[in-house]
Amino acid sequence: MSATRAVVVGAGIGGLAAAAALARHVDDVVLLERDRLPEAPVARPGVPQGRHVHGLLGGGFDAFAQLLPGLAEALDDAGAVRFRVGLESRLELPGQAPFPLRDAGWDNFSMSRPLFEHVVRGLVPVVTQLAGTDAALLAATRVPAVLSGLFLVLIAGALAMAWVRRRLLAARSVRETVTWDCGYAAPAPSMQYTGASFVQPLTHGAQAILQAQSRQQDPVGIFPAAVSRTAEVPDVARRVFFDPLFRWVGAGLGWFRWVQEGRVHFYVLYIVVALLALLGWALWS
Amino acid sequence: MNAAAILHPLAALLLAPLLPGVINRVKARMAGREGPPLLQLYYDLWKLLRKGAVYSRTTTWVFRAGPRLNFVCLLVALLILPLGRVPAAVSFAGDLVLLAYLLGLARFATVAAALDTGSSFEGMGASREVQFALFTEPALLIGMAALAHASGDLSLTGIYADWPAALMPAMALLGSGFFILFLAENCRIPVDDPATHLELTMIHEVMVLDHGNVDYAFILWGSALKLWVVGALLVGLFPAAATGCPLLDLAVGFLWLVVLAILTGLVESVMARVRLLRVPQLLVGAGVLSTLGLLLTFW
Repeated sequence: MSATRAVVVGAGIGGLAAAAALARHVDDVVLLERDRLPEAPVARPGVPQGRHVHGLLGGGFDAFAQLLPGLAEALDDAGAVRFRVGLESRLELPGQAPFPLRDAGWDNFSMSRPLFEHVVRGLVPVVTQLAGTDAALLAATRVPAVLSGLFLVLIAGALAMAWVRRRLLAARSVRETVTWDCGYAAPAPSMQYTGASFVQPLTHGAQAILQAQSRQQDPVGIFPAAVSRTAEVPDVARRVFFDPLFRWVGAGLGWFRWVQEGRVHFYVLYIVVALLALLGWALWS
Repeated sequence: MNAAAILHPLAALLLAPLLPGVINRVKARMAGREGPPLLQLYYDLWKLLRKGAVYSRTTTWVFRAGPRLNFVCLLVALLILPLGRVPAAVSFAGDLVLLAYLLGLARFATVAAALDTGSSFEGMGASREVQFALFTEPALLIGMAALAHASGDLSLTGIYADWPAALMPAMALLGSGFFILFLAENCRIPVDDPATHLELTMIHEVMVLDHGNVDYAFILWGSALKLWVVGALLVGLFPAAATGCPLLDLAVGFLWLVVLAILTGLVESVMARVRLLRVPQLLVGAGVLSTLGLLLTFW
């Protein structure tokens, strides 16, 4: 059987309990935790209400002791305060008389939450802890931040260069003239590059697919009167796929055209037939 | 971002104009000419930055913004680009895709400015530029994919962190592919001739025909930066060990760039431009080399 692995998210009390339970069934338990786990029993940032004194309820302690044999001894060693429930603790509920002091017959522990977590963490077997996953999360969110930063640098750089250019040209003469076109000084819109001429090298290269078509009227004689050239790239998808498809669908549906008679009483008849059919179907089922 | 890493963009900004100078010196020496001085581009930039401007009435702000957008794109590219063993100022998984798109945006800026003039010459140059880009971009991305797969890292800094000597055959293929890309992206022989003065045969030069003054200074400076940027992709493949001292690593990287410039000068001296219709075949050849390199890394 191949190696099995379980991943537990969060190395708090619940996560540790889950890891302890899972450790009996899989080869490796990976525990992901946002905080860097402290070596000593001290509070860590990700735990709310982690600073005041805690006690365990009896059932909870039993459940933990079942998962982690030796828990009571480990808590004793770590310095948790063992007390006799009922005798050495006193429960007062608001608005009621305090519970009477009477030996309940079992021990419990009082300690800080970080201490309990620390002890449990030490007892959970075969666990790979990936603590400080905050850093990994940060790295994941870092990329968009860095990208935005670089983009800001790009915009700021372009603006700075615009300012430099403006400063440099401020004291110089800035004149306007025509576009340099080999001495031809009367540019017209028809002379400039169009989209078709811009992609001409590519359409030429992909001629096998695009099937660009051109018609040309060559100059004839010494003083040619009319010269023309027309080039177009017809839509391949439309020509090869959509036009035939729609033609085929249209022809197929044409077979049903006789239904459309154009006389109102026929349409009323259709409705009656449809209603009767529906009635029959409803009665039958 | 560490302070040493910002050295690389700064060095590129200041030293890049040396590279065209080196290429021209090599060409002049090979042809037995005196040739322009090594620092010619610095003199040109200084001259152009102090000139007045003449603009075409056809042009708009697109024409004026083109050169500086191109320049800034290359500058941002330098922030994510390692040079040899010098790590980039900023690095994250997938920044190689950003590099490809920054080069694309730079190209778009130049092309848009060229089309803004309305001149059919410049339209023709722009058309050819994007046609060739259609072939160079896949070759670049496939080559980067091969390097990413070989190094197991998706960031440029990670890819070029060490010199993977174990991949010699793949590196040789990728290196030759990238060298063709380097020549094509920088409009050098055999794809384009930077020295030509016939509009019909030019690609890059014809796109910037109408630019002058400060804008043209940014264009020339930007071309030098592009030599540096695309060259850095190739320099990372050259053998060099990380010394641990950023300045020393930077110096080694720059030396390799100079070697690359000398190599370019030699290529330009011994061969002519290939026919325009043959250029796509050359670029597809670069793509095939990159693809073979990628296949070899899977071997």
